[in-house]
Amino acid sequence: MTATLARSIPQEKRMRRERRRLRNWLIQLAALVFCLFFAMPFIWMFLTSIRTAGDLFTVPVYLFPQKGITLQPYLDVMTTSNFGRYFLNSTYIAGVTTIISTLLSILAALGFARYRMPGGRILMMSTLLSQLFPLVLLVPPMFIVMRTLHILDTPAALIIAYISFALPYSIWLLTGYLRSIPAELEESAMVDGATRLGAYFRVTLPLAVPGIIATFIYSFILSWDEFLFATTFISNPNLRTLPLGLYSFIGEYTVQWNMLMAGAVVTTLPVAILFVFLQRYLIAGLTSGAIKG
Amino acid sequence: MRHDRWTGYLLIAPAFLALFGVIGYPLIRAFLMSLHEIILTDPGLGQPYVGLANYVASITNPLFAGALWRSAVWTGVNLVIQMVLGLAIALVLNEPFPWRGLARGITLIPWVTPSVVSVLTWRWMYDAQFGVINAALVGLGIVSQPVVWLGNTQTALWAVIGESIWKGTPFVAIMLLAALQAVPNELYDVAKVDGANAWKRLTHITLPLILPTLIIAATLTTIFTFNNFNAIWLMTQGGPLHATETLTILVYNQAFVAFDMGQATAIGMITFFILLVFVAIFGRYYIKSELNL
Repeated sequence: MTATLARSIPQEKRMRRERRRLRNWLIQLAALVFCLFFAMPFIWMFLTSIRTAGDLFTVPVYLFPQKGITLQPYLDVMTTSNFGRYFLNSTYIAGVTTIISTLLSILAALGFARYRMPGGRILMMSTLLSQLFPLVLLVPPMFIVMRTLHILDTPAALIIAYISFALPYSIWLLTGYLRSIPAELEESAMVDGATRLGAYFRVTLPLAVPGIIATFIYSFILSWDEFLFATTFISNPNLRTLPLGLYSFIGEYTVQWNMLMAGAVVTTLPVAILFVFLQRYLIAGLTSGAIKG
Repeated sequence: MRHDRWTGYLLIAPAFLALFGVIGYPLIRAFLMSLHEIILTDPGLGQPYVGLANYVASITNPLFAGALWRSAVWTGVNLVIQMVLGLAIALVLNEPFPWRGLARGITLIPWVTPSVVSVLTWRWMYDAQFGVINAALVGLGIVSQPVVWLGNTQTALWAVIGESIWKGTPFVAIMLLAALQAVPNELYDVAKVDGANAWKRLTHITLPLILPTLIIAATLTTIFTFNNFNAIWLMTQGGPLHATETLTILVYNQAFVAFDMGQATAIGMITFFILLVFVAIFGRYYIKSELNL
């Protein structure tokens, strides 16, 4: 009796180790499948962007370029199309939108984080709810109003429209950030002779810089990616933003997919770089919800 | 928290004036427009007040019932698959394995990709003749003939859902992963000692503990999917033959393809109301979690 028991304990240990190793393999296999699913379209985009035109429409379809790789699509997209112009337009419109909504949201976030106001909770809630709103409902009235004001087909039309989604998000994120900075720091600065305003500028806002940067970058990314307002309000080809420019490659007859995908890579790069910088701040904001690309 | 409320109001005033201009006022205008007959291509008509005629016409419009149904399918299928897949990915990425950091990074790719870029890339992958998806399916013998994914009323909606799952699931996964990381390991150790198997540990410990995050992720996914414009419009513009026309797309097409602003805003208001009911039921979890920041 005691002998079998003594033998079965190491055996059970080995079995448990075996089972753990199998489980580990299964987990890695699952992770690999998920990663392939998420990476595949991205890889395909890149592999298309380095194909020659003759290598684009082949049957059968090859995953890897058969006729060598080329950077010609990138050159084509920059020279034969107005892509550089679209890039500048996007940078300008997203930049101005973001500066305006960040400045307004710094003030509003100070108000929400530092003052108790009747109705404050309801106002805060309304900024939150406005993110859950069907944006498409705003497009017809904005179109009519902008037509009356003669600002259709100007960058201003898009900047005004983009504030409708960039500002609520910025207020929400910055308020959360400012609340995490203790107000006692301002009081002690005021004991040392600073005015309240001075305390905000010299103590609170410098501490809030990471939050302000995160807010800035995220609303920049949101504006960079916008298509609905842009396609409705802009018809002048010289005013196209990147999303409009990319979409305009889809012509009536053939689509130069290698050029389009090269443009897609160029459109993604700035956003991807910003995300790498931002990841630290974004994940914290993300875990509490509210932002979805 | 300070009590000189006027300073607080003064700080939030600029932001809320701007928000009224870009959201509040357009919303009021949209409601008023829904009570008038406004045909953009027929300015001679004037804009006569027609009461609720646009609402009656919208609801009896056969396109409306179809769009309502497709919105339900589109949102429901996306929600279920994104939640199940997101949870599976979060569970896998919460287990220790050597390249976990890399796997987490790859999972972020779709979320980082601008939506216009991702939709256009998938559109290329779905290409009937030269698309990589058909090539893979035919190569693996799953289908014998290439499928015209986006040109067929039977497959178009499912194809668009495929892209949307790719784009939306990482958000769910990252949110749930953060919630999983907050579950104390001791709970699992105790459960193991008590003899609970992996499935029991999942259903009795993990899921109850991350339930609040699950509810918030589901609520946000529902709202963002329901409102999604880019994923559908850039892929199919609602076609072929309205096969992918959800309520959001119908609002846009009524306004800027049929130029019937009155009916477009009426359908938009109905859509808004549907969303309000949903937010009133489920949004409180989200709002509660946000306001407790």
